[in-house]
Amino acid sequence: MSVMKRGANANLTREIPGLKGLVLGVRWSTGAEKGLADNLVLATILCSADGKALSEEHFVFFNQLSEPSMSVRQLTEALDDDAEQVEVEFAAVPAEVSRIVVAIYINQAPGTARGLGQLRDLVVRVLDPANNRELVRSENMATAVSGESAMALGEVYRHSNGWKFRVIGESYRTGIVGLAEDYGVPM
Amino acid sequence: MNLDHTRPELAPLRHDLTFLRRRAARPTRVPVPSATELDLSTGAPRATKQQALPSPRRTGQGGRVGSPERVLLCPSRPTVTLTRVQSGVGSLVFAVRGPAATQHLGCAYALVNRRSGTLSSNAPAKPDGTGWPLATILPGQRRALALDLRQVGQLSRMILFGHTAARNAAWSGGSIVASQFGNGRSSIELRVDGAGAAPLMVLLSLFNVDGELVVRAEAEPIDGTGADACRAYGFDHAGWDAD
Repeated sequence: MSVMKRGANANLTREIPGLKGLVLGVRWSTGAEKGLADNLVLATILCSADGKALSEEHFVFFNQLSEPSMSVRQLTEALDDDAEQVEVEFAAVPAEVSRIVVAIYINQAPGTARGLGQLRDLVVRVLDPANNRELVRSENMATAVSGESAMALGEVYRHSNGWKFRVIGESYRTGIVGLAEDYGVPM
Repeated sequence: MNLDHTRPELAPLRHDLTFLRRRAARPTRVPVPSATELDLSTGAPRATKQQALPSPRRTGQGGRVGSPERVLLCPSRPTVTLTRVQSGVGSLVFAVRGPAATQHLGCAYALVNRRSGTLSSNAPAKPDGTGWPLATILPGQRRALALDLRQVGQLSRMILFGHTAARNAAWSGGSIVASQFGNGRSSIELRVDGAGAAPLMVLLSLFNVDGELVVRAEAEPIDGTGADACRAYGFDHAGWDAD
């Protein structure tokens, strides 16, 4: 198991040639802030080569648990100690998808202004679905945020007929609005 | 003919109902491993607890709301359907834009767990099973009501009604605007005149159809109380203590 810093990448399919897919698991700890935990949302965005979402149907989250090709599926109950998990099946990913971005945001209620800085831990992990083994994990990204309410955690992207994973760790003070604008998700 | 109402699968075929014969086959479910297949030891094949079903492409009843777009509900377009993203991100805020500052909003809702409840300008609502209100009157703004879309999965249907602060005063008309969708660039508007001259007006109804909220114009005056409006729309079991 290796811990990756923001910006670091790993060539998953070169290291594990038979890798058919992966599981992206996200762990967070809110301490006593139950209100924050209830409003944290995991989102996965399937993007084309220009870095934009193919459509609003390619934004996978709790109210849309898969995209049309079923290559990316969010589990309604995460295994292990992850708060949320998403499964990716490489062979089923549409050819026009170049990268799959996993992000979290706070679903802000009117009049509230919670921030990811209230988190104690925020880690994204990559698992091999064949044996549930953790391949890589990010550093704790909770230390890099304060008032931001959305963050692109990492991305899985095509590279030389294979797939690589990169830790992003880019946060947004404008929350889901800024994240959606950056990745072209129609709201 | 004797029918066992507890076992509908044993009922005889109804060949007189053509729409049933023409119904498309159910989509194939993704196989979910049984509990006996679950192996938590390291190195064992991964067992998924629950996987998502395919998300069929939908066109939406009454059309969609673009981004940005302002949709005006009218007799020729009484409904509009939000996408799953629009139905699940942020809050859906309903606000009255009318001549009288005493116009307030309220709602009645039914949850997927078959429970129901009401919300008026006096009493916050809390869905059963969570500590967070599904809908809230915005602080200091009795003319605005917000639906928390993080909890949209719990919502089955809802009506939104307008009433006046004074018990016997008539709803004086105006517009109801639903907006935000997480970024506030799109909106749905319904204009209601005061011709009904009733103390309460059911303005909109919402239905959660497979994760998509269908918004329908009602604009129906109710010559009665909020409890009467709830009964008229089938919320018979909704608690009501704020008439």
